[in-house]
Amino acid sequence: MGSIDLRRMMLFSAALRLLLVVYGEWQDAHMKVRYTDIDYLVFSDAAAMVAAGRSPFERSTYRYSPLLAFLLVPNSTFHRSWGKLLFSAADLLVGLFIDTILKLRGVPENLRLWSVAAWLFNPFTFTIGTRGNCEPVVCVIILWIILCLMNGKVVQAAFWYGLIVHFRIYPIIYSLPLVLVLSKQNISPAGKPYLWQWSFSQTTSSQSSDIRAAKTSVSWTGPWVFIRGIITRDTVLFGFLSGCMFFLWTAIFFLLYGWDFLNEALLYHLTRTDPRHNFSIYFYHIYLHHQQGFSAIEKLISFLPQLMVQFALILFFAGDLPFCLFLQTVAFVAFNKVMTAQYFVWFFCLLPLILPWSNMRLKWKGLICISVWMGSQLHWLMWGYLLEFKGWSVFIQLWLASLLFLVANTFVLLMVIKHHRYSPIFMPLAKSGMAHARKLE
Amino acid sequence: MDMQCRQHKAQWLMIFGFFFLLILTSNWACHAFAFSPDHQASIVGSVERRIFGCLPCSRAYLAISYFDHHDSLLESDFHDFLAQEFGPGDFCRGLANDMNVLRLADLHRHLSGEGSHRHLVSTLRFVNQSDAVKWLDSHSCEAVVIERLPIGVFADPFELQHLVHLRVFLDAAVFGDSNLELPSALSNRSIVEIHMDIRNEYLENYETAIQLPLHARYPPLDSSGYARIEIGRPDLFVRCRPKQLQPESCSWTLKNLGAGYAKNVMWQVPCGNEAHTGIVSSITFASALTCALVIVLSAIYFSGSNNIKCS
Repeated sequence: MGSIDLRRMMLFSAALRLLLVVYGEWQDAHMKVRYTDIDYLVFSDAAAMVAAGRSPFERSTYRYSPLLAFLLVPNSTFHRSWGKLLFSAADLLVGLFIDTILKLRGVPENLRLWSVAAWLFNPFTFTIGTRGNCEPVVCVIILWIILCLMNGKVVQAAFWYGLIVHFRIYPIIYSLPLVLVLSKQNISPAGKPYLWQWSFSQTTSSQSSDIRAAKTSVSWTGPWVFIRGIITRDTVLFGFLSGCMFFLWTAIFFLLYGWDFLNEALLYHLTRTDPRHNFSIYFYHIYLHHQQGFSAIEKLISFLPQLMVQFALILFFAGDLPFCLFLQTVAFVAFNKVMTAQYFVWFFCLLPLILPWSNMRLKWKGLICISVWMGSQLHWLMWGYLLEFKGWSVFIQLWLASLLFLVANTFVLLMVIKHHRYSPIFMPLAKSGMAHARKLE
Repeated sequence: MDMQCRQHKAQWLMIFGFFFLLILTSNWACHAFAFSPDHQASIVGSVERRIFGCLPCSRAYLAISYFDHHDSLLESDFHDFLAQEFGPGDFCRGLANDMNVLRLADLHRHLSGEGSHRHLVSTLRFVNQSDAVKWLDSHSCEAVVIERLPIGVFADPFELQHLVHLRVFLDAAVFGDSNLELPSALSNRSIVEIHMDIRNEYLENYETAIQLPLHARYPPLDSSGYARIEIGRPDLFVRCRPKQLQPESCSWTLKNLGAGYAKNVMWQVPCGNEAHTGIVSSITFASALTCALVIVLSAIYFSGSNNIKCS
């Protein structure tokens, strides 16, 4: 019954996406405002360049890995909607991986379906793939890395991790939690790590002490012990292989396209300071200072709150990997110097992985969180519209709206942390030994 | 265990405290060394000069090589460039005289739309005379509009190519700084060259409108909250060649139409206020820091209280 429900849900989602791709074609041809994302046109142009044997970076504002242009070559040879279909397929695969991850963690069927639906029927996500945004590809690889780790496939996880950091850079923030959980996993004789299983009730005192054991092994040790504890065979393997993958792809494309690639696809993202309005709290500050440039100290200050938050979230929550990745991503986007709506997909794909462990009920706390987050975003969009499309000088109001959005993000983050039942992904050594003994009995 | 746990927590708190102090001191240092920015003004205006000459068919655009010889765009330099490139040539003189049948009666310009993305509409009204219609039976003619855009606005070359693809323009190109993202202070001027087919129906309808999509860059700071961008008169040309052509001797005959009647177009673009600098930067960093600390503290608190007590 469950598998039929999931299948139905997937089929319905696939039909919805297909319909939206077809509708997009119609809107592009008949209406002044395009349905297709402007970036999709950039990808398509870059793909056409690649198909013609030229560099994708000849297309100005193409600032992605050349891999994306290669993926979209059929846009010029097969059909211009190829990329949208590919991204929507990745989007559907994310739904499937959410179900698989939750199944491995012992989440019951109905909860799994609700979680999958939270991704598949999120209007943000299904529109982003069908409009031709490449983020679903990033999401699907991130979830696949989590799956690989849960199945004890460290080499494969490292391969994909190196690739995705080359592809989109931001997943570099996941390196520390990934290494931390790898250093604490205990492999069964079958070669798979022992996984904590989901339980409906509040954790019992024995579970609580087990979780504490798993947690303290990650967090509450002194800094030196903590660093020593990270270095294991698996973590060294993961770090080395993923590093090699990252540098291999980077070297290949550097050889092919030279400094254009390095400047546009890599260095641009690391040094990006965008003075044009975006959700980031820093946009007006950057605009007000753009004529004189930024000193190294200023760049450091805007980076420090980000660094503090990332560091704290990893230290306290790394054991519960999907939860930690979710919090990190929300915080990373909220404190980033540039923030656009497409970045939200980065954490939307991780949200369903933590929903079964949340005590927060939709009525009313859940609804309050959604309303605060959406409300502050709509409020920002209103000022953004007045500035960009009406030509009103409302920079100060827009900046205040972005501060309000940061507060809303912080509020939602706190609510999520407060109502989350911490559950490490892997069992600690003692507990997994007992589980194995029980199995043998 | 309790003591050890507290000691470790204290160690991490000290690390975060260090970050906090570092941010506060460096924020102060940044403001102490801030200095006021320079303002740049865009230069607009137009000088009428009579230009006619020959243009090989292989040369698609008139302005294509301007930036090969010049780093910046000045009206006088541009007109000198045109005069030099397309100076009077005996070979074309005859055709140029015949082309006098194509004359512009009026050029009207205005901006349509609101906000940062607008259209510069140029309405060309030709002198309606029967000789011109006859001339067009035996000659292919194009109107060439060259807009010398001020620093504050730009045309997106990809958008123009899309319009060429849709046959809105016969051809279009952007020369100079066509960066789509940089603010005015970090940009240079650009030239947009648009080609339109002159067909009999234009002359019969008496006028044709060219809608050039333009986008405002973020202007330099100004206390009024708005920057005034002035788009000067364009350079208008007409180029013709006989419909019956020998491929080996293909050349256009070029002649300027003059845009003397057109007025400069004004565009008010919202801009940041320099007076906001101190307060915006301080509050931005203070908010980032406060929210970061709230998250860090709640991570410490809830990681201890949520199901697990650090006993």
